[in-house]
Formats: sequence, C-alpha cells, structure tokens
Amino acid sequence: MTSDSSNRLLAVIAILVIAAGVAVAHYRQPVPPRAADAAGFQQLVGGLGFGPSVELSTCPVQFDPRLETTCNARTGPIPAGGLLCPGCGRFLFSFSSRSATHLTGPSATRNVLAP
Amino acid sequence: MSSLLSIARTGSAAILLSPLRSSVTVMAVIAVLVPYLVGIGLVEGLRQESRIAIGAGTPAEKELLPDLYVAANQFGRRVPIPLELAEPIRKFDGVTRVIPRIVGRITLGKENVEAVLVGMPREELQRRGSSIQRLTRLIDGQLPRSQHGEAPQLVIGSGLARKLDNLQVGTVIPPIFRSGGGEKTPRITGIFQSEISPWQSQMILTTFESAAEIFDQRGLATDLLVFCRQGQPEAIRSRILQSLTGSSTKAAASHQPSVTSRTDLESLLPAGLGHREGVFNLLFVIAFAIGILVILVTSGFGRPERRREIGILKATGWQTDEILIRSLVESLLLGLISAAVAILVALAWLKWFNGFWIAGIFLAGVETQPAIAVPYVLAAQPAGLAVLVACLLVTTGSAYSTWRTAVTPPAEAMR
Repeated sequence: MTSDSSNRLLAVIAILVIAAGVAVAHYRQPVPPRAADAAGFQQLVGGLGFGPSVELSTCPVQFDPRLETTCNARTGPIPAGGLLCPGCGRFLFSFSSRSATHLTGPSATRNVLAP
Repeated sequence: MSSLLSIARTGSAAILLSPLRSSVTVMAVIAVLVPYLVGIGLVEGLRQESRIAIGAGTPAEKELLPDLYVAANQFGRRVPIPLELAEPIRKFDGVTRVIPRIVGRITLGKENVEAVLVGMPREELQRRGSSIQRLTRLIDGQLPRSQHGEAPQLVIGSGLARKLDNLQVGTVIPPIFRSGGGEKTPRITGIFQSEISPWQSQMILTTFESAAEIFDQRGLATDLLVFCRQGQPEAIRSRILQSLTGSSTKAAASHQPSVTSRTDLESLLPAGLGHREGVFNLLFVIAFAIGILVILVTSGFGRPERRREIGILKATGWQTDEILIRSLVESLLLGLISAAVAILVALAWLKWFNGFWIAGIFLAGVETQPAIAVPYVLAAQPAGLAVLVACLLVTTGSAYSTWRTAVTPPAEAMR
C-alpha cells in the first residue's frame, strides 16, 4: 500500500471529523429565529404543548401535563402499569403521572388541600 | 518516538489493506449509532421546545405566559372549571389578569382526523396578536375574530391543513358541530407556519366564544390562565387553593381546584426525560454489545487473511506490542470515521429529510413524512459519547482477536 493512499485516507478522516465537529457546534442550540417564533406561538395559545404527542387521542398527559394530572390508562397497582398506555409507554420523551412526589422546590406542595 | 509514529502510520495503511472488512466494520457501527443520535437529537429538540412552552428563562415581568394554570377536579379527575370562579381569583392581590381557555379534542372530515381545538378570548387574541412582531412568521392569514353566534373563524395547524386535502386560507369547511344555535360553517382564516412549533400541527385556534359553541359548553373553561406580579405566584397559588376549596359558592363547593405553576412543569421536564433516556440508553448498550460481537467476527475470527497478515508481520520481526499498537491505531481511525459519518448522517436525517419516518416513532400524531419542522438539537454530549462508543466498540471488537493471533507462532498464524 503506498504512502500516498495512506495520506489521502488520513486527510479524508480529518475532513470528516472536522465536518462532524462543525455540525455539532452549529446545531447544538436551536436556531434563534425559530425560538422566537415558538415563543410567539406559545404566547398566542397561552402555553400549550409540552410532551411527545401532537394530539390528544393517545394520552392527554403526553400532549400537555397541564391538561390532565393522570393518564386514563394508568393502572397503578399493577407493576409497570404505566406502560399499558400506548402513549405513556411508547415514547422516549415522556412524562409519568403528575403527583406531588415529582415536584421539587417551593411548589412541592399538594395541589388539593386536605380537608 | 519516530518509530512509534511509523508503526501508527501503518495502522492507517492497514485500513486500506482490507477495504471490505473496514467497510463492514464502519457500516456496523454507523447502523448502531445513527438511530441513537437521531433519537437523542429529537429529545433534546423537544426539550428546548418544552422549555419555551412553559416560558422557562423568560423574564417574569414580561408577562408573556401565565404563571399559574387553575383547573378543577371532581372524583380525582380533571373536569371543566366554571367561569364564575375567575372572578374571585381576579380580585386577589397580586393577580394582574385571569384568562379563561378551552382546550378540547375533536375529529374532522370523513377520515376522523384528530385535532386539538383551542379557544382564547377574542380580545385577548387580538391584543396578543398586535404585540407579536411579525405575526406573518407564525400564521399565514389572520387571527380569528368570530363572536358569539357568528360562523367560527379558525386558524388551523399545518398538519391538519395537509391531511384535510390541503386546505387553503379562506376555505369554508363543513359544519363540525351541532349546538343549540344550529349549524354554522367554519371558515379558515389562517394556517400556522409549519416550523414554529410541533404542537401547532393538529391544533385549531379559535375564539373562546366559538370554541364554547363548538363544544356546546357555556360558562365553562378547561383552565384559567393566571398572570401574577413578580414574586407572587406561590402566595397566590396557596390563596387559590385555600379560598376556593373552602368557598361557600355552589360552583366552588363542587369542584376542587388544582393549580399548576411553571416551577411544577420545570420539575417535570428532567424527571420525564431522565427515566426514558435511561431506558433508551440501556437498549443501546445491548446494541453496542452486539456490535462488539459483529466486529469481533469481521476483524479476526474466521478471517484467515487477517491471521496471515499478522503472521507475516511477526515473521518479519514485528513485536507483539507493535502489532497491538498498529491494530489500536487502525481501530481508533475506524471508530473516528464511523462516529463522524454517523453524526453527519443523523444531521442529514433530521435536517434535510426532516426526520422522515423516525419522527413518527418518537412523536405521536406525526406522519411518516412530517408536516412540521421536526425539532432537533445535536448536543455535544451525545456526539462525544458517540465518538467514545465507536472507538471503544471497534477497539474492543478487534483487540482480542489481534492479541490471540499476535501471540501465536508465525508459522501457525500463516498456515
């Protein structure tokens, strides 16, 4: 194998690594105009949409936990019962049912006061 | 030092000696890494969108998004909240505004296309629309202005417009409800731009009055959006819970209030991500383990050419450690190629192919060819992890077989 071929390969590897590095450096943050537009949209609808679903048929909690506190298909006492919901069990980005145990900071209080 | 560099340079030459083996190794690593990078890229993108959706990081004094979301519960389930409960909240010290909102599920067309109907008060929509710079970047058309009793005006999501036979602005659609006021034909006054948010895709924005008519629910809202003065939300939250729970009014007595603050939502974000990301990473640990076996097979076992090559090197005076260094450099270079190509392929898939097919796996309601601009972020951490895993994968896969052959007598290795 000639030294030229080896040098060419090293050059190709260097180009690939630099290209990948530039791609990561450029796309590691959302593009600013897009973030501004998303903020404008949220301003219009009063803040809506927070999860991995774009509609309400799968599981409202996964569309936005502000709309529902618990998943309708959740069967708490059954081990891994949360996974029975096609919405909750499916997505990489997903929320468990909201409860005080998931909250932190000054908001870690019960939503409904005990009588 | 120069001899070490010379040995290392032979590592790059070794890649070209068996191009088929090198290609298979690179392809195997890319096949494992690309779905991982795409999945994590989508999650990071969605995380950023979610932060915008709850107003995280925006100055509190700007009053862009509500500080509190007040809803009602009965029998431990979410129910609509009576509008009359907005009045006592409005009078609390520190509350600047209370806006009722309707969010509901409807289906449209012959194929029952799912949609999320959002109703905001007409004046509020106009006020917010005028405060947003370059509204045309958000909506192609105009905001709805329909009043009670008029035909509803709708702004629909880009995904809905495409699913419903490419609806255009100005189109009149068949009646989507039959309330006491009779049938009314809604008109499309605008279409959300596809790139503004993933959640606009199946959304229909209309006035509160029209939404109440569509659902035929008067005097009710899904939630009340409460804007507070800076530093007041927690105090107001407690006051809402205390005063409405013990209220003597009929509406308040039968409903238990539930208040969600921005802090609650911010705390949900890492909890939701952490668990699922853990499961996702676990799945890829298994995939990486299988990848090591694949590379083990392609790099040594069952490859007599590879054994002969090492045998010849030994016979010409190479030491075992020199052969291992040569193999290590070869593996690291293959790992670098694989990781770099995987990062570029993942970027191309997310940016130029807009997450074709894979976005539908991670986001419910998104089609194979997404009608939204799929959110993504190529974070440095997963990219760095991809480089590390690729190098480890190839090195681990080939190190053992190389060492086994290197310690074998040259005559036997070349046989």
